[in-house]
Amino acid sequence: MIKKILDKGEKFSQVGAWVSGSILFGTSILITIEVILRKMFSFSLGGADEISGYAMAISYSWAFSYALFRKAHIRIDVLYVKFPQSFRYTLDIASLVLFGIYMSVLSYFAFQVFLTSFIRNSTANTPLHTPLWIPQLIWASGLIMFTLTIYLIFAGTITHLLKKDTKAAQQLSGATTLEEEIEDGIVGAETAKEELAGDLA
Amino acid sequence: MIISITLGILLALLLFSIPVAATLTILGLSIGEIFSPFPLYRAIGEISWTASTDFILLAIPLFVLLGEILLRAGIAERMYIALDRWLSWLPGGLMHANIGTAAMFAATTGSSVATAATITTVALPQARKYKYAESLFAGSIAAGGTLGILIPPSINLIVYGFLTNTSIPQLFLAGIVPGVLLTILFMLCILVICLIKPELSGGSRSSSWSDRFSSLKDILPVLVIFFVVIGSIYAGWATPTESAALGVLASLGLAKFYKAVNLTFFKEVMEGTMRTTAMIMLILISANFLNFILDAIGLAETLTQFIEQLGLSPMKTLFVIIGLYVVLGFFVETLSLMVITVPIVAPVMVGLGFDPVWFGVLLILLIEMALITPPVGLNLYVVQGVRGWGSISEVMIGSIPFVAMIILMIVILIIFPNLALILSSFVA
Repeated sequence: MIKKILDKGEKFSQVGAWVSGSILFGTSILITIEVILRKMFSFSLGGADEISGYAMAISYSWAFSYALFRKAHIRIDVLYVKFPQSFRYTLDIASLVLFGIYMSVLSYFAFQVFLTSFIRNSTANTPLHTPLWIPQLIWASGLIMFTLTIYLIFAGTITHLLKKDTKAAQQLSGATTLEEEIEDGIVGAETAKEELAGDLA
Repeated sequence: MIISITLGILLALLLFSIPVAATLTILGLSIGEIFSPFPLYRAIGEISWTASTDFILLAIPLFVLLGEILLRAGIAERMYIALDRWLSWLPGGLMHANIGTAAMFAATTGSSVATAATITTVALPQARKYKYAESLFAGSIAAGGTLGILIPPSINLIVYGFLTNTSIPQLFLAGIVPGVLLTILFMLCILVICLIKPELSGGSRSSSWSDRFSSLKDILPVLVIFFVVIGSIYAGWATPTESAALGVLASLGLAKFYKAVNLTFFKEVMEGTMRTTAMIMLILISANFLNFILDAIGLAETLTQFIEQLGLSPMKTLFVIIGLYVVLGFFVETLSLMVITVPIVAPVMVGLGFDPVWFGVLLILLIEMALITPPVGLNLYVVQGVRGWGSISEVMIGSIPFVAMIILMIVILIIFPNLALILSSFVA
């Protein structure tokens, strides 16, 4: 049961990362057009920076969950690696609890930011007069999604531990091992190496 | 009192491996509650929204994206082969290609881990084939990987600029001369070592000039991207964020030219970018909130007063700070080290009369050193991890000469501060 939800959550967060990345890529196109128009034709789209700002906030609020599933959020592991395994589980759980508290507080107040803009119908103090509640709602939803992901991973870790499936618990919420980190660093390098090995010799 | 409680909570949470982003915010929330009569926590939504939409910070995800595109397009491997043809006749051979590729590639991608991992993958089989002493060889890769955070565009410099309100164009220009100089020092160091102990170097080889010139096509594109990014900032055409956007499209064009672009490529680039971006930005948003709290309770003033009471001269304070970073650098991951210390240390140093741009460059040198000093020198482990055999201590020993060069560079920068300030003074 929990395993199914975890898989769904991970898949969902991955889609979130693709969409977030594409939004980010979109902003670089928008900004490039703006720079070229400004330099070549002394003409400005107006508001490219403002829209990019909203796009950025939205893009990574929806990528936080993905980073959590990939265990990319940095933890200092100087002592962690020295502790016995049983204590490490305690620290993994504590990490999720504190992360959960942080994101619950942030999500709540992020939602308040949206709500205030919505009720007052606030617009940005710029030529675009963007109704602020729109980007703020999408941003706050991303944060709420991340908070739910933390709860989900917390529930998953506890379930795995209760079932004594320690390997799964470690995979889900243990601090990143070096192998995992390197794996992330050199994707793609292997094939290129084979391709070019002949070239070097 | 404030200082010791803050430090106590911070150290406890960090040492118990609580995620750094959560640590910073929990620290902010708790000392806000303890030391301020106002409900400061209520501002967290508004403050995070403002930081999240800050156009200056958009440069970070865009540079990460640029780096991912170049990395997955296999540019580093091609560059390595090209630089090998140009540099391998020198005593120390391939190790110069290690440094050169690392400097150029890490500079453009801004990721020292990815650079070190990629170069190790390509270079190490060659080291075995030509019988290099693996210790120094591995050390040169680990050290080379650190050069990128000093040579612009550098994400670490953007982080410093954001935390201290220092001009990022100025910081970028300030990094160039020391960065190039340190690259040269690294190469000189290899050269001298291999002249004294030729057995550390592998068989010397030379390439024909036609080979060399035909390999230029693999070096030039990266230089073009570098000049698009830095040139557009320097010429005043673009802000750092805008230049990053130009760089993203330029690097995509390059990847297209090498026929690397397809759907899988895009998915991998997006995943890699968002994983790194989400991690960095969450830490920055948290650090930003913590700064707000620290400002509100006046921790920086308390600390400045404390340091003034010690009655140290500015120079002595500088050495104490350097010592502090060397020690912290042994244990703390570098991005975390920066966001935790910079908001407190930088104002103190500026108050003592040091230039904020100059101090930024000095700080980055210290961070570079932290990347290759045990026990928590990330690059050492990355190189060793890819290497997959022998002992980590070999990599550590191989890095010692390069640590010495970084120390030398720090001394040079203290004696001749203008090395950092000369280029940046043009955009002041």
